[in-house]
Amino acid sequence: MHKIDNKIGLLTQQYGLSSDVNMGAINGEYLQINGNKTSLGIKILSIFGGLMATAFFIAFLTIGGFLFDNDVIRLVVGAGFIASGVYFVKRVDNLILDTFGIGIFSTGYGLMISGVVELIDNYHLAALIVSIAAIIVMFLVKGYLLNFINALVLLSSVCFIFFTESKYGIFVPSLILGSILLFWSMFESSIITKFRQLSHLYEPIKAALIILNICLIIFLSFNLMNGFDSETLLWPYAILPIITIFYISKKLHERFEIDLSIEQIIIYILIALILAVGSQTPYILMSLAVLMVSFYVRLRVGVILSIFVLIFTISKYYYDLDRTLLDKSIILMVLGVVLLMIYFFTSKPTMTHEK
Amino acid sequence: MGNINRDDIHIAVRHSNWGQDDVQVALENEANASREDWRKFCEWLLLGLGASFLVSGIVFFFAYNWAGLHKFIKLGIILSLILTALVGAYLIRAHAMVSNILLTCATVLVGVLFAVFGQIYQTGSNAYDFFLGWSVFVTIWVFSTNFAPMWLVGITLLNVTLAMYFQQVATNLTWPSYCLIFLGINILSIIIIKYLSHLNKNIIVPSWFEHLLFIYTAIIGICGYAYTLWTHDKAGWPLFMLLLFAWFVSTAYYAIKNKKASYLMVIALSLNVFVAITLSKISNDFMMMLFISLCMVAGITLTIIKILALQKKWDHA
Repeated sequence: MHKIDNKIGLLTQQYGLSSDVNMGAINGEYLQINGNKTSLGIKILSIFGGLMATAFFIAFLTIGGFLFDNDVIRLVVGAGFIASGVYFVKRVDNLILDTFGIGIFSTGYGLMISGVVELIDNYHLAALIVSIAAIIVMFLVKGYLLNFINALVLLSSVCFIFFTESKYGIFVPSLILGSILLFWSMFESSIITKFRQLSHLYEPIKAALIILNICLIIFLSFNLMNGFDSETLLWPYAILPIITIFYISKKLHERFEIDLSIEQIIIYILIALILAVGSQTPYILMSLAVLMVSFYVRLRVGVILSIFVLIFTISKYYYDLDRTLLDKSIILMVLGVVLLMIYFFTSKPTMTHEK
Repeated sequence: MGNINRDDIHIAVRHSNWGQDDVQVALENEANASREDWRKFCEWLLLGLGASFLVSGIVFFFAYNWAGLHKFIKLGIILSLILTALVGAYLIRAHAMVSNILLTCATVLVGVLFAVFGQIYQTGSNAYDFFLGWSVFVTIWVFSTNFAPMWLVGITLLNVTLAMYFQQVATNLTWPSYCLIFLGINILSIIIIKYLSHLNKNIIVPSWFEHLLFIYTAIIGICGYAYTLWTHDKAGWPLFMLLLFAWFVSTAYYAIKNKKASYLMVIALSLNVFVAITLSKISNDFMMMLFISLCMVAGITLTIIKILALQKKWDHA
């Protein structure tokens, strides 16, 4: 209790936390958090366990032939699973039962999606119904992991609607989700202060946005837009990571009160050149942008995953047949030299200082 | 400061009328990456990305196999690049990170040299010979650096060499024997690196590197077990299982002693997968699927309870 008072005291003194703070509610929330204190490893373990249990449960339903032929039963049972999940989570709010909750929700969504799709034979409407269900559930449950699954379902449904609606395929959902990620991470204070009572949804949605953006980058690098007019949207899609990288750089300049010297202007011009060249491979730029966003908000899983995706997209570039290996090698070598020049340019004062 | 995190700020926002501008300042100062974090990030990003783009460009260039370039010029360019990287690494050894990255570039360039040599003289050797030569020639550099990405390059080369050897030369080996050797080699790599860091306190093994290698051994264990269960030729299986068991037990002991719960989580997850695979081999009846599903929920929940209890005990110790 003393620790909580210290924290609130610090926030009041240094960051102008108002005096009308409801200490009773804060203490209650800390009490609940401390009882359910969890690490990243436990979250990952719960998700893996829950999803594997779901896979076997769906195998049970399918092999047993319980729901295979009747889409109404699938829809009703799916909705029943979600409703009982909400009831269960509200009654027993304990993180050790997250695996069970994830299993129930995932099975419910899986059955519901397959039931709705078969029943109304309209993919858009089905996705819309599922996203509405996910929004309702998000308002009802509070746990991080369960809302992460809900956010994944909601955002994937939105992606799906745009994917099937647009003639540009995966580009449009990638652009939309990328923009939402940038907005969501950079305007955190506005979002959480405008929707104070829903701020517990902020973190799970952020994690879901990063995971989905990474999945979309992988899809995009595999040229899933085959059959679509990919050239038309290559530039607009490349603009998004360029805006993201410049926006973060600008924000850092303001935050750390760095004066814009001639050296820095040159560096900006060099970065602009790199980004312009990189715009031919927007998936590499996008993985770089997701890496920067994840680092900005200190989301460790996001940083690790985007480093892997960055390595993957650079390797993938080798197999792209749009230009010859000689062209690609020249582009990469020039970019490499420019990046190293920026490094030596910027780290020179530090190196001298270290000596 | 330093003891306020993002959750604290979010909780305070939920139960007060705290203004947006103040919340923004609190988030920037307490929750988001600091100036020092960004300095390190930019340093790593510029150097890492710059070096990897440059080396990838060189790899792409020689993969293009430009006919207009004389063979001696090709070899000369690569050799001079390797020499430049090595001399550079030696001259700026005071700046450890730059020096290590240069040495890693030289390691990759040795592979390019071998590839171009094979391309020019049509040596007709197997891919295995190529990777073996590459691994042998960079071994000393891998051992001499205190740089985890370089160790990773070395271990990757070792694994690829072995995979190529089994694919092209020792084709009569059974799957469990194949997995046994892979598991053994990677366990040995971890033990050697840990032992060297124990002997020399300057050698620091980053936690991401340890975790990556351990997860890799667990994946080899799961793949080895699962695939063998469905194959008839099981020669070498008992030895493989014995090694895997000993490895999991010793890692669990290490994890408990050093208070590292993440290893216990990987082991527990692997054990759950083993149980699921074994049960699904016994029967693929629908009731068995239900049983496995319940086992997974029970197993993971039990693991979480145990690990939380252990962490609580460590916190109070």
